[in-house]
Amino acid sequence: MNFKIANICFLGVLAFSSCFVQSANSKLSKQKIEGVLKASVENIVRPRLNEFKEKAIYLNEAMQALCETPNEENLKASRDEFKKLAIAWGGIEHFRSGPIKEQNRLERVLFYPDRKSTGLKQVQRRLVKKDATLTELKSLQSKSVAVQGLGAIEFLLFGTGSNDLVSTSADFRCKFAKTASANVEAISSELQGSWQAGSDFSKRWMQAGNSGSIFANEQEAINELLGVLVHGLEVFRDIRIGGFLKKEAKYDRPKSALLWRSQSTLPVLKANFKMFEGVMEEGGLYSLVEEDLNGTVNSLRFEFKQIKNTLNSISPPIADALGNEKQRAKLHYIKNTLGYLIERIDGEFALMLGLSSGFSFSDGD
Amino acid sequence: MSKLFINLFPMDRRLFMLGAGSLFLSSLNALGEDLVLGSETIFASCVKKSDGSFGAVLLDENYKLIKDIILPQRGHDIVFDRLGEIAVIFSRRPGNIATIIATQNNAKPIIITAPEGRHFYGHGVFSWTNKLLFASENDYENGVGKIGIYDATDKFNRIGEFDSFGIGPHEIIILSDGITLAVANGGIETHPEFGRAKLNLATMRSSISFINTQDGRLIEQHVLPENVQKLSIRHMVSNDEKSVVFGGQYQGSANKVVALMGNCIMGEGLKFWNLEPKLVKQFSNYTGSLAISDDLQTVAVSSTKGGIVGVFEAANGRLKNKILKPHINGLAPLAQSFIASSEEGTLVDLKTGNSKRHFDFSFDNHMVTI
Repeated sequence: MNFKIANICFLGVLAFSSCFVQSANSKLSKQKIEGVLKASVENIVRPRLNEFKEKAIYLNEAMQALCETPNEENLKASRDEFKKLAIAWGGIEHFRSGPIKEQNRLERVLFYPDRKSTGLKQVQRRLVKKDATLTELKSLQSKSVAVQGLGAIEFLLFGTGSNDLVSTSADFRCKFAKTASANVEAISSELQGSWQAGSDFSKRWMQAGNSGSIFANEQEAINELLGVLVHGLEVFRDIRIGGFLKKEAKYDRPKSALLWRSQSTLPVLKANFKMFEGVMEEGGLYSLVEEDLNGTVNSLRFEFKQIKNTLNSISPPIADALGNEKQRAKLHYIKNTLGYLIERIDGEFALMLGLSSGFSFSDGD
Repeated sequence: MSKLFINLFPMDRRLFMLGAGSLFLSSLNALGEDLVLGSETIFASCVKKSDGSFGAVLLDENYKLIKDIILPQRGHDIVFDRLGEIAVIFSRRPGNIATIIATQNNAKPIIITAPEGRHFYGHGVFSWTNKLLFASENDYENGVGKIGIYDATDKFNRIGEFDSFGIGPHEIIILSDGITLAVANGGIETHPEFGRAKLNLATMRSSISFINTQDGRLIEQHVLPENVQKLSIRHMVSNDEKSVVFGGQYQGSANKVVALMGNCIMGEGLKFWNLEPKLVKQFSNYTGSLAISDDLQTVAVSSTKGGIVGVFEAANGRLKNKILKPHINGLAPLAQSFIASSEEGTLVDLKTGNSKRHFDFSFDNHMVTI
């Protein structure tokens, strides 16, 4: 694809559509909003959390086997399970509502970005010291969030010295990784429990404003859901892609990319984006639009598809992609297009849902 | 100015001065000195235009548009000097420009930029003597808050800084002794490289610092307790010579409803208001703006997210009135009431609930008056 031309065409579409922004809906019905909340839980949150928990259990089991019988085969199995867990996490991590925002669960599963490599330094220091308190779950859970989750496990399984895990000489390293895996499994279990069918939290979350609801009113409920999408896309663009992709290639930072050691950067990005698209489709946000005179929904669908296809055409590892001019251009195309996508969801689409002058406008600092 | 133009050059100071800056200057639209000079009150707010561009407006006492200013970045708060002759429009974080305009004539605006390694947090305040402008700033490489000092008598040159004694300083106000600066340290670390992302939610801790502006010394500081570790204090008004009323924004789950408002009194500390849980929930864990009546007895607090404005006794938080209205954010005192500005471009008198005027732009977070 000629990305320069694609961008120009895109701007043309944008300019055209912004001239005919549809006026705000008067008010969405409570019933309709609750239908979307329900669909989001049943079609997005629950299946993805089930997947996350399942993969966390598998990694924990693989780590158990590795620590009991350290060898090449078990190390490979643990590494494979880690990669699958990272993808499963990528499929739900940006649904930042409810229990994920309590007890620092989000940061305990994944501490990122780590601009000053705080997490890495802490893990390395404790490896040298063989800090035994990190091999006991309760004790680990009281430590810095940076040593409790996927970032720590990844370094232990893939970072410098990880090949030693094939022998008992790396016993401490293995137990540290196993405890962190158990911690992630415990958190996945808490999350799944909070959102499972019949749970008090999920029942209250699926109500759009009454005495039993988490939300004060319908507007807050729809704000929360659109916030998952808009803020998630911002994080995806600014932190996940912006963290390693710079304007000039010489400033790129492939080693700042999320989970680069396990070559999970791109697979996780793909899983992230699939969830964003899912919130619109299976989650039912599109269905809230009652009148689409300008074809906004089709246009957004097209943009999601373009980004997804481009993302899928880039091959890991991320360092290789950045070193390849065409693949790097694709990453820039994605980053730029995300900017327009966010703007349109935040402005045009939010307006169509009756959210005044644009959703994030009310995120008032 | 088109949004595209802004997006292409969001943070490059040199390009801004060459491009957007000159466009800004030529776009200044003054609608008449008579209106300003004849008005006892001036209202000011940043706005978003219907074409998506950003600006600021000055309104007279009858809510008639006096000045309509185009801004190259989204603005946040506007501060007046003590005579009301100068207004400073701060960019919203992580913006790095502040636009200084004369309110009573058509003098060309001055644009100042935060120095390298700093950006503004959207708020500032003039010293009691009008000679200095203080601005809340982010020293983002070191992840600490600073208060930049600008010389208002010399083209607003930056002449120094002192610590905010926390992360993410937001609103800053001078207490009535003319010396003490109260700083709302929101506690949230951000870095322009990562947009507006919050980088330290697991460890954030918000506080209010009282600082001596003569030497930058910390007089005292009050840190939020562990049980509200994720509450970020953003805005304040002073209701007494040693006391402020604060409002915060909770960064945790909507599942938890936390107290958002209270008093912080020098020598005593933080005291959250004891409000009915039902009322607290209506604020949706968010306060956007605070304004205090001229007699310092009554405070209005808005929550755009909750669609509510509460009017409280400033000393203890006793509820006097509440108005359920979506999209309201900015607040400013009137003689016997408050005026509220909305994202829908409406100005509402909180006492009567009547709409005073409607514009075809959206009012941004804060409305100020002098």
